[in-house]
Amino acid sequence: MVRLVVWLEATDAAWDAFRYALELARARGVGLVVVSGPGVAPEVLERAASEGLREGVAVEVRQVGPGGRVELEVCRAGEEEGGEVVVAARRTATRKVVLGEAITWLLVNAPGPVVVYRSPREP
Amino acid sequence: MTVARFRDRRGRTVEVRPYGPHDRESLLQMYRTFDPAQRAQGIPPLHPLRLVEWVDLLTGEGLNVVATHEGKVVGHAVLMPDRDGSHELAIFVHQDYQGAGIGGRLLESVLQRGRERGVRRVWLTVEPWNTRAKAVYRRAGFCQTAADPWEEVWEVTLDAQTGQSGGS
Repeated sequence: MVRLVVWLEATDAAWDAFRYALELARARGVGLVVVSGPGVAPEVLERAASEGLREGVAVEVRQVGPGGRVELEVCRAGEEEGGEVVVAARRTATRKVVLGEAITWLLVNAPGPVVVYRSPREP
Repeated sequence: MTVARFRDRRGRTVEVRPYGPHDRESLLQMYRTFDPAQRAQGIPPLHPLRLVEWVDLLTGEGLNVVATHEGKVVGHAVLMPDRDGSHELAIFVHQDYQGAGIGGRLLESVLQRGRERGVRRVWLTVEPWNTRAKAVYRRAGFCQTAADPWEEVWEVTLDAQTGQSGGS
């Protein structure tokens, strides 16, 4: 079964993207691979796993080590799994949507579909 | 900060001044009639309720300047405080008033307002193909500091002592 891949950081936007990916995974009956950066606290990752458990979705967490580039690990996971990669767009202070260098790199280099999730909670 | 009154390139008398609560409805009206094709990076929002939320957010938390013609808001610039102590700039001129020198005046005015309030670093993102906006930013002293295929980051440092702006 093809698992989905989601990039999780400790931001509201990333959590919204995670929950979207979780919902997709649950609807399809597949697992979810969560990839996070080195600065993400263990309790954030534990919370992701427990939310997955609650929704009946098997969540595997992969944390990139210090100095690592998360987008490379997200890309690698996407290649291994073959499913979509879900990432969060960032909002600036004026609420502009920006992708940033890492997501731009992923859009170009990911092996399959990339979903850039924009939270409907924000303008 | 004083009110600047000038004739735009089409001979219209335009006033640039700080935003006041009495401008809210006119500002909303400008954005309601803003050409959706000219939205940049997701703003201004299209949904009427989100538009109101967005305008209230900017006018509640930012330093705002408006351009008016015959009492009607036709342009808006804002400096929004960021998490790292810098300010993000956004600027919009209604399509019926573009290319008339109003954007430059708005920019000058909002940066002056920032200087008066002790703002130091101002940054913005702009789509790489928006050459008209980039020319205005360059004239105001902004320099490009980062770029990818979809967006560029431009910055300026404000100097309260000299009133000058310099690229970062």
